[in-house]
Amino acid sequence: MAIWLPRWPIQRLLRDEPELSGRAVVLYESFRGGRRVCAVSQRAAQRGVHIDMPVAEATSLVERHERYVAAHDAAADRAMLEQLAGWCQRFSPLVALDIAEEKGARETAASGPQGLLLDVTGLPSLFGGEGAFARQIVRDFSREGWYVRVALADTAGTAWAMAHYGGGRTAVGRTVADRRSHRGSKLPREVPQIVPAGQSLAALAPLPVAALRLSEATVTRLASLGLITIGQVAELPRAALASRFDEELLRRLDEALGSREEATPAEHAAEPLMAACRFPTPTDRREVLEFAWQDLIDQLCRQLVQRGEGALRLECSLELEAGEPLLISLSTYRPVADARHLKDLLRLRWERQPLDQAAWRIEVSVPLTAPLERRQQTLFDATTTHSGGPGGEFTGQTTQRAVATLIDRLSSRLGREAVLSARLTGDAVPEYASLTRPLSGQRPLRTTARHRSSRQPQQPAKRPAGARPLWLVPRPLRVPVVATVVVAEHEREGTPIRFRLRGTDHVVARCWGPERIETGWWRGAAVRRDYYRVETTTGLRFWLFRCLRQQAWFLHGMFE
Amino acid sequence: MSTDPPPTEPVRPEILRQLAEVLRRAERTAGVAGGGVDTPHSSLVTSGVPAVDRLLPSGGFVRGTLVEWLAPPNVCGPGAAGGAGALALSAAREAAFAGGAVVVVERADGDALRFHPPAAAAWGVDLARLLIVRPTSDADEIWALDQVARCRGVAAWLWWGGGLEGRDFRRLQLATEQSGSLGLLVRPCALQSQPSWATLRMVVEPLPAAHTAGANDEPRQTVQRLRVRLLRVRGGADAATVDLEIDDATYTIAAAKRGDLAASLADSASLARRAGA
Repeated sequence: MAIWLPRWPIQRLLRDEPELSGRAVVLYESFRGGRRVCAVSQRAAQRGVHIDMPVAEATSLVERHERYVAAHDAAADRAMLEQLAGWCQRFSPLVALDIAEEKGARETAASGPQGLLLDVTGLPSLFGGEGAFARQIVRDFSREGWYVRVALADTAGTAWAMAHYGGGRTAVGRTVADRRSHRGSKLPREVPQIVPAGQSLAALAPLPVAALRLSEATVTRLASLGLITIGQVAELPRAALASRFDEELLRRLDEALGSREEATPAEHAAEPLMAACRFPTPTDRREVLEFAWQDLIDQLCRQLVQRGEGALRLECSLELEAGEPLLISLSTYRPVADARHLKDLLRLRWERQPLDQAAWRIEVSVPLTAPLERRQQTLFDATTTHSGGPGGEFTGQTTQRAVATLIDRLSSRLGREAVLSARLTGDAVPEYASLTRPLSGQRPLRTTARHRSSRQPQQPAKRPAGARPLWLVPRPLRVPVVATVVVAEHEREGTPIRFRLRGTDHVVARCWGPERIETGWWRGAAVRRDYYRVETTTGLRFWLFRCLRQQAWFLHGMFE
Repeated sequence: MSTDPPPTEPVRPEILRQLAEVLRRAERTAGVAGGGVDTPHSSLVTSGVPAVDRLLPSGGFVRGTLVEWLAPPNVCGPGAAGGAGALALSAAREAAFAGGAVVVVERADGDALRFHPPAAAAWGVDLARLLIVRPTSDADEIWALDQVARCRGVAAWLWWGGGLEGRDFRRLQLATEQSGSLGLLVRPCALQSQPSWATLRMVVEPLPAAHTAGANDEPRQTVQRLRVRLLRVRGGADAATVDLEIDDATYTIAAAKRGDLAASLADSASLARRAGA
């Protein structure tokens, strides 16, 4: 049985963010230095956006208020599909992701897995027949919020073809997006296609050759020879096909008709990593609990090492006699499988955790893991090399490990948000010129997350145009400027000569500027400021600006 | 028609710049006892300013020690002003040249001043290796400083702080010694009289400009002038001073030119009176 989720990246996105339904959603990916569209919603397709179009062209075709352009998150798509595969275990124990063959030389969203293949041999009778089985699947999926096209056949190839191309519809059918906006939450349910046993050839004959999961090149060649449907191809002598096309065509044909076995690797949900310990009587003695979780961490680390993975997040939950269970949650900077390190981190938190009631069960689990990085031997400590990713920033193996341990310990006691790294965004507005992010608890090899706006951070400039202060006030502080000098040739306020801050008057000795920063109109209220570097008679240096909209002076920072 | 030669890799000027850095560094540390070729594990770190290096008997900062700058306090929030920050960042940049992380420990309370990373980047600190730690309580701050000082992977750590208990200070000094990192503290100059465990103490005083121009007269250079006075150094003469100029536009620190010295000396006395330093 094949289950196809049309426009899978868009569907997943819309399910996560239902407010986007009805809008023209365009997902792009970077390809050879440019950005190309890889998935479009129905509304966007109506406007003329299609796959492989450059993003700039796509954005010009759609109105600003109804478009939503974002980067395609292939990892999230796959993760959600894997989750669905696990959920489909209720229908069949053998569920596989539908990995389409490479189309041409590149993997795009169009060729990433967009559906599931289930092996349902012998199962439909349990559900009351093939028809009832398929209808139940469609019902369950639409209850979860997914729009699917289901087909049931002898072989995976036939089922795939019927799901994608069967029923006289083209591959790109209607999607859930527009229905939702019109009718509320009721999703359309497609009638499942069922191919009776032994009639695969008859069912496949009217379908186009692309339904055989062939590469684009092969499809084009077949079309140039006038072979449009599978029926035509099947009528030709096999020797002729073998001599003119590579083995892929024959293989796919055989798989679809059942004369060749097709292997589909089944997905198995990973066993959750969890160890628990139950006490015969509830205890509130800290040594006993400490011994218990140390033992549990040892068990988990053995499992982690076996799997070759390291923990990125650890959760310890104590079920108390009365009240809410106590939860201690840790995250680490790099995947860790070292029991001593994890115990250290948990101990730091444990020591500050008061325990007023007895606990009768303790459970330690690892919700987030990542593959353990193999240690590489480096001959030299490289100097000032930038390598991407969180692991490559601190050079040298012992240095890296020492810093990773430091980050873990600091994050464990001070909290994730207290250990940050910064990066430049190249934005001219000082508040947004750099972004900080917590260092621990993130999967190190993740693809970039969704961006809320279509604007990517630009290449950061090496030096900003003007001098930047070392200290910035998070929110600019309004400062009454007592007197200014009016520049003669322009009839507007000039540079400040005296201002009052926190009750003290400062007299300006020297002043540089103005530096005009005028930008950010896409973020809402535009920023129009004239910045002045001001040195007072006491030697302090301030960074003031005059907001041109409000005609008021603000303090934004201090130099050194 | 001849085809154009393939474009030279854009990384070559970067390689040249790095080579020039290494040569400069080797020249500077040559001739110092125990110095010579600047290996990654050498214990001597230049301060980033040749004038300051000349002031110090060892010719630079020594890894595994605490360096303290005392400067006029900031008006609104933690830290101190006067140009010490630029010196600290230059030292951190030099210390991290051969690898390791740079850590800034700051207490970010509400609307108080916050560290601005683009300025650090402009001073040459590698942001990919910069760590910002923000504790929220006194106890957490001391603990965090201790952890950072103890870490072998940290090349330099910076703290714009205030009062420090004697035993905490001593513990920091021991931790730094053990790990070989360079501890850079910038504290208000009011704490000058308090005992300190820093091996090297310097007082930073801002100097006014040579000419106090009104706003009409745009000064041509964007330099800040300050005086660094050695308060305590191991094995050196006390009270040696040097005048420096910090250029905010090009992010360089250099010795002040002699010509303005007379005027600045005259003004600094009145400046000290007013600031009450």
